[in-house]
Amino acid sequence: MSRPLPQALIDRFEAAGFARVDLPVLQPAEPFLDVMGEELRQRMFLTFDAAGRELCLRPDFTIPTALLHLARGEAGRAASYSYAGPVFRHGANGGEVAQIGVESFGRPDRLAAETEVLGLALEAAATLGLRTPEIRLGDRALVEAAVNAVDAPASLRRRIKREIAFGGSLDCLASKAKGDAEHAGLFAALEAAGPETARGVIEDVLSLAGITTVAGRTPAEIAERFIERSAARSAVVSPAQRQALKTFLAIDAPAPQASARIRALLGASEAADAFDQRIAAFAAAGLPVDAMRFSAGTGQGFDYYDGLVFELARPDGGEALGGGGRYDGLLKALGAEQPAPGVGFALWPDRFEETSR
Amino acid sequence: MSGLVLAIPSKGRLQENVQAFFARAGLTFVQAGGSRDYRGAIADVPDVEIAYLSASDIAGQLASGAVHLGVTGEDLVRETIPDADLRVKLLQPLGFGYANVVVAAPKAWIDVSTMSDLDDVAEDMRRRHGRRLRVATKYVNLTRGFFAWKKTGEGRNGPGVSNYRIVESVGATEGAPAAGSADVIVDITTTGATLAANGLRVLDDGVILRSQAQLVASLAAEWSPAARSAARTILTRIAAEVRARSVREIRAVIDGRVERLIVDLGARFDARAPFGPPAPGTPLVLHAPKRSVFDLVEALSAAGAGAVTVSTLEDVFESSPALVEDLFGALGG
Repeated sequence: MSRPLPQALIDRFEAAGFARVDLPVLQPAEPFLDVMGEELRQRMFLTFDAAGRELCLRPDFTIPTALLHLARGEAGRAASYSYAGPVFRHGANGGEVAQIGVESFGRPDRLAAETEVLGLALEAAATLGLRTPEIRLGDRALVEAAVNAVDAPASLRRRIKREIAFGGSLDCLASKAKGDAEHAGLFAALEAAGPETARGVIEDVLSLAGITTVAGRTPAEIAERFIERSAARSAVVSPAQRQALKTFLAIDAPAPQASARIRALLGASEAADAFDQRIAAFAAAGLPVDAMRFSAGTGQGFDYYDGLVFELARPDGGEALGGGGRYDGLLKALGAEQPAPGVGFALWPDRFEETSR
Repeated sequence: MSGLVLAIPSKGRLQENVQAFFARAGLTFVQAGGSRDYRGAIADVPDVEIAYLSASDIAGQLASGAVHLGVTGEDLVRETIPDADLRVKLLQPLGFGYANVVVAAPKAWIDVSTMSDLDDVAEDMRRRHGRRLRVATKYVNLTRGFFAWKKTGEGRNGPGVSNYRIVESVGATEGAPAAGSADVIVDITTTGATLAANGLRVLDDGVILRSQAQLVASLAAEWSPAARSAARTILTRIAAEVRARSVREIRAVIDGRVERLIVDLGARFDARAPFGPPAPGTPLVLHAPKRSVFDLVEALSAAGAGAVTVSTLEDVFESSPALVEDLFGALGG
C-alpha cells in the first residue's frame, strides 16, 4: 500500500475551487473501453455483476469524474473537481497506485483555464518535492493542423492521423495502396461513370442482392466509401509535403523557440497562433516557459486529449510523474449532446518519492 | 505423485486423433475404469498419468504447471496463455485439428478487403454513428494483439484497427453480424464454408494464426527425475514415429566409393545415410524426405545404380532426436 496522500494538496485543490469528489472504486467498464479503447482491457481489473454487466476497478479518475459531471446537470456548465485515491491497473506497483488531480469542465476562457491547471500542477509537484521538473509540452491540435495541411483525400489524412496517434510507421505516406484485384472491373466502370452515378449503381446492386443494412452499415455508406477509397488509392502525397510533415513531427525544442519552427511549416494558422498565445499566457502568469520543451510527439497516443498536452518529469528525464491537458471531446464521447471544454491533470505521488531527497 | 501428467482432450474427434497418433508411436492409453474414468495410464511406460480434460482447460493447466505435457490447439495456447513462449514449449505439430483464426467481414462490404480498410471503416462508424466497430469473438487476446498498431521492426509492420470494441460471443460467432450484434468477427475456420454461408469473407491480410493440434510442454511444471525420464521415453517414441512417417528408405547398390555421393545427396535432397557408407557390394541405405524420393532415385540412377528400392519405415530412432533435445533444452538442467 502506498503512503497516505498529502492532505495539504487535497486542501489546496479545494481552496482553489476544485470541489473534492469521492468516486466509487467499482465502475462500469463500458465507458473506459469505449473512450480509451480495447487495448486498455488487458490492463484493467474486470469483473461482472449479477446481471452480466462488465465492471472494473477504476483505472483512472478522469472518466468517472466526467460521468459524475454529466449526471449532475448540463454538460456545458462550468464546474471544477479534485480527486485523490488509488487507481488500478495491472502491472504497476502490484496493480494499485495512488493518483491525485483535478478536472475542470465548461470554462470558455481556454487560455486562463490551461494556465491555471498547469500552474496548479507545478505547485503540486513542488509540494511533492520536485521544484524544477522538466515540463514537456505537446499539442494535438497542432498535429491535426499539420496533417490537414497535407494535400490528400480526407480518408488518407485520417489514416495519417491514426498512424501518428498509434505510433504507426507512416508508410501510408510513401506508397500507394495496392489495387483491389477482386473489384477492379467495377472500379474502372464506376470511375468512368462519375461519383453520383457510381453511388447509385452500387446502392442498386446491393439492394438487388436483398441487402438493406449490413452489420450496421447502410448500402449508401458502403457505396460512398467504396468511391472514396478508389480516389484515395490513386492519391500520392508529394515528396515535399511528406518531408514537411516529417520535419514537423520531429520538432523537439525549448517552447519559446518552437514557435518559429512550427510557423515555418504551418505558416499563419489558427493552431500556430493558439500555440503562441498559450506560451505568452504562461509567461505572463509567471510560469517557467524557459523550462518547457515542446515536442510534436508528446501526448500522441494519449487516449482522449485533443489540444494541449503536458507531462512533468525529473530534470534528468525518465518516466512522467504526472500529466494533463485539454480534452474537449471527452464529454461528447461519454454521451453529451455537444462537445464542451475540459482540462485537467493527474499526478502519481508514489513516483515522486523516489525523486525527493 | 511425482511422475508425469499428460493431458489429453477428453472427447470427440480430437481425442480419437490423439489416441491414434500416440498408438502409432507405440504408446497405448489404458483407462482404468472404462471410458467414464478421467484418469488413465500408458501401457508399459511407468510414472505416467493421463488426465482427460477439455482442450481449453489443457492450455490453462499447461500454463500453471498442473500438467507436464498436453495436447491442445495452438489457437487455445496463444489465446489462453499470456506470453505463451515463456511458459510453455510447443514441441510437435500433430498434423490434425487444423483451423485458422481469421478476421472476417460481411461480403457486402465491397469497400473492405484489408485490415487497413477495416481501420478506416471503424473510424467512419465512430464519426457517423458515435460508436465503435463491434468485433464478435471468443479470441479476445488474439484479436487485441492482431488489431494493435505495430511499429516498424515489431513483427508485422503496419496498420492496426483503432476504433473497435470486442463483443464476447459464447455461441455461434459467425452469426453475429447477420443478427446485428456485431459488425465483423474473429473466429476459427477450416474450410470457410460456414463463413460463406453467413455472408462473410476473410480479409486479404486477415489470417491471425494458422493453428493445428500441438504436443505442448509446460515450463512451469515440477519436472521431477521420474517425470523427465517418462517424458524422454514418450518423446523418443514419438520422434521415431514422426521421423519414420516423414521419410522413405531408399536402397541401391553403387559401384565404387560413395562418400562424395552421400554428401552430395545430403545437400541436394536432405538425404541421410543412417548407417554410413556400405561395405563393398552391399546396398547403400538412405533416408530421405517423402517429397524428394523420385528426384533422389533419378540421381542414384545417374550415379550408376542398378535396382533401387523404396520402402516405408515403422520407426526411426535417432541418437538424440530434436524433439527430446528441444524439451530438455527449454527446461534446462
